[in-house]
Amino acid sequence: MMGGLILSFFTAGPLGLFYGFIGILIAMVAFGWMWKIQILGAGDVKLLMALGALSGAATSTGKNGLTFTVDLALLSLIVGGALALILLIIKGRFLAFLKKFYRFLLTALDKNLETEFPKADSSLQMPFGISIAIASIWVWFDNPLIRWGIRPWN
Amino acid sequence: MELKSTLVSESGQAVTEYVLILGIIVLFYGGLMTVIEKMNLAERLAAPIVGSYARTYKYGNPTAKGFDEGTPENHPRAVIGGKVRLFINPR
Repeated sequence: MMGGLILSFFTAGPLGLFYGFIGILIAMVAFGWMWKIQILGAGDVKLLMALGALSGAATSTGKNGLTFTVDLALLSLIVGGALALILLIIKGRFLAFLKKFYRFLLTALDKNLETEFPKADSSLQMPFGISIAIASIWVWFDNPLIRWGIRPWN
Repeated sequence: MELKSTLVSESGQAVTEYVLILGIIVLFYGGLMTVIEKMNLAERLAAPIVGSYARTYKYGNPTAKGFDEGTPENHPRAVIGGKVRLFINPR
């Protein structure tokens, strides 16, 4: 994190340092709650915070320092979702997941039924850091969210 | 000297099914944003209000269709001390 802040300062000056701090804050808010309810590990949050510190350095390559971390978080979830899907198919648990998800949608849409939130099998875990790493390289060199239109500030 | 790993688990701590649900939510949101943008939904929803405001400002009446039915002079206003001018909604 310190390295990211120093790099942001040397590449973009005080404004870069400011963007670095904002990036850390955004990462903490975006992923912190997921750690709190035990969806992600603390290391995943810290990794995103460290990458968020590079927001200032990202401005030197023409990116928006304020939105860099949000883009990174969104793309991490998309990449993570794709990896999770592959993992569930490989482990033969995808159909069970689909059933749970279907029950959730059915109970959420029918007013007469009590909404049944999908209870995930917490024993099936994955390293989310890989998704963050892939997403960070992707966002740095070619932000696909711009092409896909998945940005609230377009 | 023997080195011991401090890692609790190398298989990760993210709950796979929840990660997939979050991915689905982000993609759904992205799809929704794309549809809204393609349909110009925001502009369509604002059109009646924008039109009424524009006519009120131009003709002094939100129902006027052109200058035959109103002029900017008709627009009710309050002038305070000759310096501040406030337009009032005629409705």
